[in-house]
Amino acid sequence: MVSDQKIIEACGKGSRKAFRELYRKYAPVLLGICTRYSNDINEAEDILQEGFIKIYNKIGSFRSEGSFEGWMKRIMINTAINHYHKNLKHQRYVEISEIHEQLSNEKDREIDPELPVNKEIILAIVQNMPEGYRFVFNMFVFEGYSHAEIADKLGVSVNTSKTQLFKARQYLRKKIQPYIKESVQNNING
Amino acid sequence: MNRDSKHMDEVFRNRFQSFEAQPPEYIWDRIKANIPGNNSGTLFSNPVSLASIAAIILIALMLGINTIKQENIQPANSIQKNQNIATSQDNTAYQNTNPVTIPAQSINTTDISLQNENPAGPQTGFGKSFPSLVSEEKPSARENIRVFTMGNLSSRKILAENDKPNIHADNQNLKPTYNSLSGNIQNYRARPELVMGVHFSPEVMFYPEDNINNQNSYRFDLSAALHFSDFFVETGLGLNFSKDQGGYSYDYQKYLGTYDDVYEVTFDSTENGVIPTYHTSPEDVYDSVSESYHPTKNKYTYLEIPLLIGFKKDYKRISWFVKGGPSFAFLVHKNIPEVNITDQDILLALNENKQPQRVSSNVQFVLGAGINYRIHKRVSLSFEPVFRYYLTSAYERSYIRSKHTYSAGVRAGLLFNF
Repeated sequence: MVSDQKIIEACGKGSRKAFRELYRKYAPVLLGICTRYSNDINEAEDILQEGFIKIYNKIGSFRSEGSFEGWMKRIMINTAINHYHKNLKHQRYVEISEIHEQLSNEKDREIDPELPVNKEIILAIVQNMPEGYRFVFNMFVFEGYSHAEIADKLGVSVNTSKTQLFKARQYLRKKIQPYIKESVQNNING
Repeated sequence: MNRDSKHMDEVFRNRFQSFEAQPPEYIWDRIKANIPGNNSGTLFSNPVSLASIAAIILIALMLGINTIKQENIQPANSIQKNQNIATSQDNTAYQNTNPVTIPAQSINTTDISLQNENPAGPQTGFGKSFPSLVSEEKPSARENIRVFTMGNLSSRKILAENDKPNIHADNQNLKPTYNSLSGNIQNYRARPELVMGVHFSPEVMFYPEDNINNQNSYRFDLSAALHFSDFFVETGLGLNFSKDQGGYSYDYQKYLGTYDDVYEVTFDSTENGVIPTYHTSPEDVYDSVSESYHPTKNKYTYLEIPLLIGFKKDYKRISWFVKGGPSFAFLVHKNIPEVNITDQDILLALNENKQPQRVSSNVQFVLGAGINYRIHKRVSLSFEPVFRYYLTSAYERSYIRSKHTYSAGVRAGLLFNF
C-alpha cells in the first residue's frame, strides 16, 4: 500500500489518481464523521464532497508535523460547521440559569455504557437531534473541544454552548430510555 | 459534570469510536468533476521508478551500441561457405549448396571427416555436427576442387581458433579472406565516439499564468554523449541550485500597553459618606490588525538526469548541434526558513507562506542548440542556449496556477573527446 506521504506529495503535484487513492482510503471514516454532524445521509454526502474538494485544494499546505488523518477530520468538521452556519435558522437558546433550575429537579439516572442500543439507532437519534444540540454535542464529546472553542467556532456564547450540551444530553437520555426499558423487559420475560 | 452525563458521553463515544460508512461511487464522480489535476502522477512521482527507467534506457542504449560495433567486426572464428568447399591434399571434394557458418569450436583435430594422406601431417576436418557438409561421393571433377592455403599452409595446417581467421567462400569461387586482429576489416563503420563534458548553466524560470517574480537558478552538470556519425545520445548528472524569492504574509497586532478594567464597584459607608471602591484588573491593549510581509529565500537542490538525442555537424574546428529530450529532476535538499518574529510586543494573528514551494520531483522537456569550438585535438568549448519546459509542475499546485512553467538559460562548458 502506498504511504500517506507519497500520496500527499503526488496530490500536491495535482495527481488526481493519487487523490483517488486518498479518497478510497479515508472516505469511509470521514463520511462517518459527516454523518454524525448531519440530519441525514444526503447532507453527510454533501459535506463529504465539499470537504474532499477543500482537502485537494489545501493539501499542499499540509506540513507533515501532525496527523494527516486528524488534519482531514478537522477540515470535514469545519465544513460541517460552515453548513451549520448556512442552515442556521432562528433557534431558541435556553439560558444556563434555566438549565440549572431544571437540573436541580432532575434525579441522577445512570445509563449503562453497555446499554443494548445498536449503532444505527444511536445514529438515528443523533441525526434527529436539533442542529444546535447536535453540533455542540459532537464537538464536545467526540472532538474534545472546550466550550470556549465551541462558542468561537459556532459563533455563540460559552453559556449557550453549555446549555446546548445539557439539552442535548437530556434529549438523548429521553430518546434512549425506551430502548433500555424494552431491553430490561425482554430480559425479564425471557 | 455529573456521573450520568459522563456515562452518556461514554456510551456515544463507544458506539461511534470506529464508525465508518461506505460512500456511494457517485460522490467520487462529483468530487472529480470539481477538482483540476491530471490522472498520472504515480509513475513520475516515484523517483525510484524514474531512476529505474533511466537505467534501463541507458543499459539498452549501451547494449545496442555494443551490438552495432560487433556487427561491424566479422566474427573471427567463422567460416562461410556457399558451395564447393574443398580442401586437403588428397583432393577430396565436399559439396554443400546451403550457406553454412561453422563455429570454430566444431573444428577439431580428433573428429575428422577429411582424411589426410599424410598421417604424420596435421589433420583437420568438419565435425559431425555438420553432416551435410560431408559428401560420400568421390571427387568427380578436378575443376571443382580447389585447394586453398592460408598463411603458412605449407604445413597444411588449417587455422584454428587461436589464429582468429575469417574465411569466406563466395558463391562460385572460394575467396578466403583473413582478417587478423591487427588487420583491416572490410565495411568497417565509424566507431561511436564518447564525449564527456562539464558545464555550468544559469537559468531564469518563467510563470505564464502567475504574477510571480522570475526565479533564478544555476546548474553544474557532467555529461556523457555517444556520437554515431552525425547523431548522438547524451545523458549525465546535474545539480540544480534554485533560490526562490519567498515570503510570509502575516497579520499582527502591536502591543500598546494596559489599562485597568473595573470589574466590580463596592460602596463603603464611612463618616465622610459613601465611598466607592473600584476593583480592577489589568487588561492588555493591542493596536488594530496590521498586515506585514516577511521575505525569505527558499533554497532547493535537485539532482537531474537528462536523456537527450541530438544532431551535430562539424565544420573544421566548429560544430553546431541541436538536441532534445526529457530530463528527470529529484529534490535532494531544501531549505525553507520559517518566519521568526522576535518582537515580544507582537501578537501574530495569521502566518501564511505566500511563496509556492517546489515539488520533490519533476520532468522537463529540454531543448538545446549551440556550437562547439575545438581548442585542442580532444578538448572543445561548448556554448548552448537551453530551453526547459516543465511537463510536470515544478511547484505545489495549490499555490500556483501555472502547471507548465518554463525556463531559459545558457549552458557553457568544456567537452573532452575519448
